[in-house]
Amino acid sequence: MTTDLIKHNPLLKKPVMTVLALAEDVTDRAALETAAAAAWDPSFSQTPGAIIDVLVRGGYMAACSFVNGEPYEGTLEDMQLDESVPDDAVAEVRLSLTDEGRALRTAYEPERTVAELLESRPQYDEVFRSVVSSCDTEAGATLPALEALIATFPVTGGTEKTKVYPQYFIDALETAGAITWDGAWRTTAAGRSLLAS
Amino acid sequence: METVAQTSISRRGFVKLGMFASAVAAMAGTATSNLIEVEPALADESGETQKIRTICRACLNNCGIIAHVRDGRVVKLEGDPDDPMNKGAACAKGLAGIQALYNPNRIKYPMKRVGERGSNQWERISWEQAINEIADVMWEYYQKEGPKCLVTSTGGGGNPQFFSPARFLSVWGGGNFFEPGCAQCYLPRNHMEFCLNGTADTSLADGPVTEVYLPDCQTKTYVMWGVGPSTHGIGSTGRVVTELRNNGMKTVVIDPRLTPDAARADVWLAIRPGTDVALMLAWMRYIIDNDLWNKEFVTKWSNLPFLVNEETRLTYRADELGLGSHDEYVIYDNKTKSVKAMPYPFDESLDPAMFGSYELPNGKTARTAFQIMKEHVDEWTLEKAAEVCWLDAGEIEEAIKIYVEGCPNAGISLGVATDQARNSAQAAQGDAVLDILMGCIRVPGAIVQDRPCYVEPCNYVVQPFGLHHPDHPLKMPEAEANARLGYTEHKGLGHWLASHIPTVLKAIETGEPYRPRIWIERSGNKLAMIGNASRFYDAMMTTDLNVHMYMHWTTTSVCLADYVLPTAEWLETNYAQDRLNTYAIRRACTQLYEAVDECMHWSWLAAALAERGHQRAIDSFNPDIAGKFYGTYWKTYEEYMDYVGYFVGSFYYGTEDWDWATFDAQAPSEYETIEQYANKSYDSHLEPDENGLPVGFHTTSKRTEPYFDGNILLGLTGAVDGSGSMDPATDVFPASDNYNPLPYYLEPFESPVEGDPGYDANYPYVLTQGRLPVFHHGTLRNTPWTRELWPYPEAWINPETAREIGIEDGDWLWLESKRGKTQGRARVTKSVAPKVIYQERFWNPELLDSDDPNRAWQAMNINLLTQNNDECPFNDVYGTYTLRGVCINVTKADGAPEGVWTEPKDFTPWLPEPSENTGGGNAVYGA
Amino acid sequence: MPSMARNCIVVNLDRCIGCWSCEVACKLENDVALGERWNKVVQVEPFGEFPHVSTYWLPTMCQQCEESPCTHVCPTGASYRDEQTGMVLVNKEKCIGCKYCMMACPYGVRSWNEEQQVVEKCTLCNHLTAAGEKPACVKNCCGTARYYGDLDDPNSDASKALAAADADAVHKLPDVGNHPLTSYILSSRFGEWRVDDLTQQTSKYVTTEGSVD
Repeated sequence: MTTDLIKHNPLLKKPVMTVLALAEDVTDRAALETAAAAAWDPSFSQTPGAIIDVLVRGGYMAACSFVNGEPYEGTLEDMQLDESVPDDAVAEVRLSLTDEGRALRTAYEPERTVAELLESRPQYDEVFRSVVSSCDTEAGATLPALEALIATFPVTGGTEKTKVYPQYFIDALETAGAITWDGAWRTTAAGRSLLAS
Repeated sequence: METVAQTSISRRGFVKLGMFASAVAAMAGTATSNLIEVEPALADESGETQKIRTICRACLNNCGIIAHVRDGRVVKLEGDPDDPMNKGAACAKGLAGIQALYNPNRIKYPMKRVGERGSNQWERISWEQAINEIADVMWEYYQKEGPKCLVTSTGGGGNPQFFSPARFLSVWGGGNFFEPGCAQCYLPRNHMEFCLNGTADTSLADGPVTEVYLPDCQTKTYVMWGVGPSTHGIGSTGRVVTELRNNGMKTVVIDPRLTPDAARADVWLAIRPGTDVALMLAWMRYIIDNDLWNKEFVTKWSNLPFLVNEETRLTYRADELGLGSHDEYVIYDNKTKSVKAMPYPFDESLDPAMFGSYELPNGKTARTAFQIMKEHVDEWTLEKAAEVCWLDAGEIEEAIKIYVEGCPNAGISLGVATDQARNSAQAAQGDAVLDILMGCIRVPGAIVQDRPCYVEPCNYVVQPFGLHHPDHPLKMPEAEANARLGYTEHKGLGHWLASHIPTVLKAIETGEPYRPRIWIERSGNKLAMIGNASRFYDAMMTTDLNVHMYMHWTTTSVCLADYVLPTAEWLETNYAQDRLNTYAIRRACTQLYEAVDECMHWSWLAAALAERGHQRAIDSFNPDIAGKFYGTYWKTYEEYMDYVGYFVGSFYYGTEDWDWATFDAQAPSEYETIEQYANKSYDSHLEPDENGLPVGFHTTSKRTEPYFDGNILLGLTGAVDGSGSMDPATDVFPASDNYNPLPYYLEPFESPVEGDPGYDANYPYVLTQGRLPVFHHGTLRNTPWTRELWPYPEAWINPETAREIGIEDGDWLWLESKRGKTQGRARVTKSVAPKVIYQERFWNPELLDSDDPNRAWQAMNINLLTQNNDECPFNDVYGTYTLRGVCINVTKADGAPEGVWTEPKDFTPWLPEPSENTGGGNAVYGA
Repeated sequence: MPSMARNCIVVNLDRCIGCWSCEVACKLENDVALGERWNKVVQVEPFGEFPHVSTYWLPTMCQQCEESPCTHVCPTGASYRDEQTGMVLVNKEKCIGCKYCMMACPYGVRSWNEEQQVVEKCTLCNHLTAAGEKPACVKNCCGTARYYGDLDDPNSDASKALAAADADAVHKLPDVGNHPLTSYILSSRFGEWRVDDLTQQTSKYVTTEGSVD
């Protein structure tokens, strides 16, 4: 259950991991949002605030409200409606990573997910490494080049019924974090670690 | 006593306004009435009521409807008396159209999800933003991986343009398309029956059966095999069958459930779900053994006298045996007692043996196809079929006799039921074989007639590029078409360019052979309609991008979607519809919010991809490449409408000049007379071709092919030689099985028969489904007037079984299978046999707003119980999984699922919220 | 005896396929509230021995009784018989909501309008028929099973439908002196008319001896 958030929201993986990486050190919500915004990629489909809400809702982060430095039971919205809170009170929300949040971050560390991928498919070990290696150039690798490379491995050919297409390998390596696309396929740091191992 | 205030009574709702204004005029001169006079001020302001002749799309009957529009509001609907098929009838589904149109749960604007999937928080965005953000993701994925990353889907409900996704994929250049019907609805019949009879399938619901609508229809007997026109169609099909039945046409109904048509049939065979092919084989045996088959037709116009190669199981060609040319077949001639070539169409000097085994010039022996068939069905006595099918042998015989007595002015329509289990292909074969044996083809009164839908299925106007033209530049490249998931094993899917749903899911689950990552879906409620829904949910939660195009919020939108795009209700769209010898028109009566016909969604995505440099998308807007026949994609709705007008004009009226305005100005109108329409089918196989020979049937041999050896070729190559309105991809790789030239029976994988290997005492009852006259697939669960009539799914249980379980009428129940459990409410009734449970698909829109929106598709959904996974074999040709005939257990529940609405007043929040004609999405985007 | 017309609807149950089109057509035409059913279609639960069971669908609406109990009991004259058309109707302006008429009706075909706090029921769509159209339920019926007209006019659809039916196929709901005008045609070929021992089971089904046992 812990890792279902990213499994069920693949396109939220990068923004979630960005926030989780910052969350250990930054506990003030407003500051966290600002820091995240600075690290935000335009392709992220949600705002930093929305992602923080996602993590809090899922129990990966805990949100505590403070009024004038004292813990407050409730959310910011509750505070605003609460007549016992003075209008000029200083309101803060502090966030902290929960154990689930740390587990999520750990589970999706690219080196771990890359290793898990290779372990889960030993029959494709050579193919994976070959693909990652061919992306590790200055120009990166094009799709046609990778398709041609993968086709040279007998294990991918098989019969028409057992054939495994190049897309499987590219997709699996990208999802695991060994390669990335920016107009060409490139090896990531985690990919390079794999090659070194 | 109290007196009620005189003036303050006002009747609820906008509908009143329109009615009263016209009612006052109507009532002028009548002394008293119970109607209240309209206040003069309102009467003065109100304009005229426009009556618009249009076409319904609440279901597939496509009935003619007259919509009353007043001050831009649709205020009334009624049947169009001039429509030749519904003749003024209109059913509950169509009449609820206003409630569907102004439903408060309409998706009004493009919406983007905020937060994680299932959190049900949305922000409104513009069409511009929606199309561009989606296109950005699609373009990135296309460039980095190629076209296989995309999977699209559609459904039968919600006013579809069925081939929109397939057309888009042909432009996109690859990828997959699925539909929860398809291999589970109509495809098996649509493809296989045509392969055998070279004429048409026998679906009443989907349109090909036209004979029953003819004035002075000659049909003497109509066998409705798993067909319930009173429940599936009503306005057109229900109406016409009722008419004929009351005018003396005999009917036989084969259905586990006592539908109105079963109740009025001369014989009702309450067949055990999933055993239809066994019964068909028994019918075949009876007809053969009792020598009832049509001698003239079967001898001259079927391939049954042809000798068959015992090794390959293909019919011999004369050149293989040195007897003649390749396009001649081989028979045993009784006159000369020798094996001879049979030229086309028939050599009158020959007297072909219909049965027997004969020695060939090469020393081998060969049986006639009819001999093979006779031996094949020999075990299927009436008694055996009665035992397997839970029927009475005497009544089976009675049914056959009624059918035979009517032949050849008779026929058998096969319905969707047999398309929903693993004998789907074989049932379609069996049905076609029977009408061929009896010669019920292309004669007056026969159900099988040569009045082609020009576009299969169902005559949809918008087509995938290259559907009829293999060399079209925008046809999906062959390598990509061959890579469609599940196509290798189930070649029949190629007929609709579709992919195999379980294989798609497996690909998403495992990544192999490649993983679909973007899902664009144009229909209502996959989670209520797909077999084994939980598996579908688990898989589609892991795709990268989910886009839902639909008219109102459903489980797909709330639980799975990242973007939600509004589509239009049938009252908001423009389209064309053939109605026998006429072409009718659907005229938009209004356009609401930013909703738009689904055709534009795909078109706009193509335009956005073109802007980004997708070459095929660019080409799809180029008329020199797209061509007039398929039309370019459209930037504006007007362009689409003009294409529709052009299509109708060129295909049906012999003119290339039409646009929408021309079509609109004269529709509905005849494109041929009813006499021409009727007569063009009778004996049309005898019409001479350019060489003076009969044109024959649309098959390889030009005869009907009840021994369908083309099935072997289909499995091997993906091709069925011979003409047809759709040709599947050619030269694909072999299947694992050779598809059988003859129908064969498979006991349902999960069986209620003790002692059968498929029997499990934990699940002793067998579950089936069936249509209702107030719903169409997943639609209309949220329109108050239809929902209040069927607020929860009824579980029909025979009194004997109810006693056995300890259930009373009205009890809430748990129904459980190996896949999951769900609820229904007991109706103890003699409408089903003991051990057979009927419950229709259902979902609960009211639960979408709850803390757990997934309950909307779980609370009362039999598709949690149905099968769509690897544990049960699929049909060989189409990959059909099992929706009808799974085994379940039934126990009493404590009560209704929490939060479900069951009382009429519960549906008050869904009463219509009328709104203005905005011009729809077209008004804000796309020009 | 006043020479009033005897307008009513004749329903051919051989043709009725239980599709509820007439119910919804009526609701659409008359803006009938949720839960209210001016024209209620119920199914007589299949009776007999499975599978040789008999069933039919029974649309019930105001039967336009000749000796209408509802008009007799109404204290204000809100429930009245129209002099020109002979129709039993409700004048809502006079209705005080006592519901005596609802109690008096032997068939339960009168509805309570919550919002307006008055009784209402089938009006034979007299606003349509006065303009030469048919009632909405008749027009839209998918079984072509409903016929409207004046029983005293041999050329009316209702009269013609009755004339075409076998005498022993013509039935009425139980008559307790109210003389319903509405007739139901059910031929023995299609079913067995069982009405005297019908028990309401749910809003959609009624049972008779021999069903559900």
